[in-house]
Amino acid sequence: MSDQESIQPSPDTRPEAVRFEKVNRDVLRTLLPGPWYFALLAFCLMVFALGVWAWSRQVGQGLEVTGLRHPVMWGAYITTFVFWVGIAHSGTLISAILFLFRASWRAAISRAAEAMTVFAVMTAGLFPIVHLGRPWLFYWLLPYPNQRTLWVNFRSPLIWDVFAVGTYFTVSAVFFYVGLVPDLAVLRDNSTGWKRRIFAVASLGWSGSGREWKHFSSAYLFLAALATPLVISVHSVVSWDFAVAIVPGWHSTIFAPYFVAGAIFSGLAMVLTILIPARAILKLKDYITVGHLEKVAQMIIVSSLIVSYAYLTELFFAWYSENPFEQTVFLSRAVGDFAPLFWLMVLCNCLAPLLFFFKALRRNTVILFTISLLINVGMWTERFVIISGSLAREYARASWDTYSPSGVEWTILLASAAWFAFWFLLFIRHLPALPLAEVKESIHHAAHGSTPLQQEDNT
Amino acid sequence: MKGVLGIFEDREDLVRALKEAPGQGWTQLEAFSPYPDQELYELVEPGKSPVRWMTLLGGLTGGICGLALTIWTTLQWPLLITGGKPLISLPPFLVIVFELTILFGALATVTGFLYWGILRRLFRSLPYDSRFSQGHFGLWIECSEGETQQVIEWIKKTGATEWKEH
Repeated sequence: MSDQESIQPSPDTRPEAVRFEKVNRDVLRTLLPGPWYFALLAFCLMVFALGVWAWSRQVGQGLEVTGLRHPVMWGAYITTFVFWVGIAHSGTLISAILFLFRASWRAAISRAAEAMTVFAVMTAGLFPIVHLGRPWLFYWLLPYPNQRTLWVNFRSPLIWDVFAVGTYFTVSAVFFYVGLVPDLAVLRDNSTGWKRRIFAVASLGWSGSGREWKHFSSAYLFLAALATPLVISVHSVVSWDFAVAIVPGWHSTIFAPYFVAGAIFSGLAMVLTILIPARAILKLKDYITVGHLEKVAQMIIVSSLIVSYAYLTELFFAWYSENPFEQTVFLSRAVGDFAPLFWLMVLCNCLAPLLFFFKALRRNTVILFTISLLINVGMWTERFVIISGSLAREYARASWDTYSPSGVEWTILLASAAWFAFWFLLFIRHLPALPLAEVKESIHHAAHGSTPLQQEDNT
Repeated sequence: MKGVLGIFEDREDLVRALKEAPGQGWTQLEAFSPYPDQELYELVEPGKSPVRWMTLLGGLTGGICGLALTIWTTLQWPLLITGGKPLISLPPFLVIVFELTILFGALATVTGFLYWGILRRLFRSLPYDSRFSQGHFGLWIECSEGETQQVIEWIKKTGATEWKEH
């Protein structure tokens, strides 16, 4: 079996123009929604509406409808916020960091991963507001001039979050759109009527001229260069929401790199969870090959090992510090109320990904998909154990308690997944799932034995 | 704008034509391609894209705005209990400075792309062929009305599969 890493499995001797047209045809063919698609969209909207109903109960009756009680005031909502922000990160890793590292294989999966980033941040952004007792006052987080010149406190990590997540959403959305402009021109040229008019405006009248490409390439490179430190800062800031507080189990200097690694780990798993069914349903197996999935699996191994190392380091810190409060928290994670979740996390995040060391397993899509689901579960559990597990064992024994999310919280959690799926479904049938221009570029470079993007040095 | 638009199936023919055209006395050129091709765009417009300066300018502006926002607003309400730490505590403010540097830098980069890549071209109103977004390449040569026949004669020899007079 040939190594399916190149975009085209076999050497193709047809003229490039013909092969490029085939790329357009193969991808545009995926943009034909059927009745099942609309049924699925409607289902997602229904689940989301259920979440809105649950939330309206929470707004009406207050946070008592949730399982949040002192001392565990941060629970499933904050966990899910961290989870979705984390999911977003691998999109930026694939679209920006791998772009800067000239990993040309990323082309095939970059568009879907970028879309995932934007939608995951949109989902994450709901949770800090859902978590508020008085959500209509959320704008108090924004620095705006008001009557009493009462400004926000810039020493608070919650304000850093507003800036970090707000910037992340804006930059990812802009990055996604700029990359999409040449492909919107392809859609424009292949559609008629009102669709053509919409795409003509959305593609900004793109014509593919040399001068356009020149400034496009330059802008894309600099956006990637800005997105790379941004993505690292965002999850660092999210981790400081915890690390800056003096709660045992949170107050640790390794939190920033630990959370960034965890974010990329969970995001890569989500890429597999989404792409494995998508490539089968959209019949894009010639473009998103097993070779691409395997490369994602290899990155999962690396990030899984970093995450496992961070778990061990945390335990070592607790033991070596001789701090009884710190030790209590970690001991209770392993044997206390949260123990089943802790061991589930170890199984999903540390042990299951080790299977990817075997080539046969990481090239088997069923195994890839199953483990990617396990990692998604494991990473949600990890945040839950860190956030609620630490609060439940904070200092004095008299204030200890336990926590489990209520039905309202589970419903809202489920609705957030439906919200994410809704946007992704809209994307997958209305915009090209592959970056057409980049795939054409890789075909050209594969045919001429050069690496795409080595050229960028001079943009 | 008067000129001739040639359509190419083979990129190499276009590269050769682009290199030879200035020798024929035609210097107002534009190439069209379905993907970013550095060799092509360097031939039509050599040098580095000025978008980089927008990134720098935006980043610097963002950083300065971040510093100004955090320091000025803290001084507006100086009674915060800081636990003995200075009122202007830079380490936490740097997070805001950093994020605004990136935000303004990215928005300025896009503005640069929209200005040089999109707006400037919209005013040139060059001809277009929808095959450029599929898989074909194109070459636009601007010339006076009297020269068009001469350009067409020449472009036929370069390997263009089709040509149009505008």
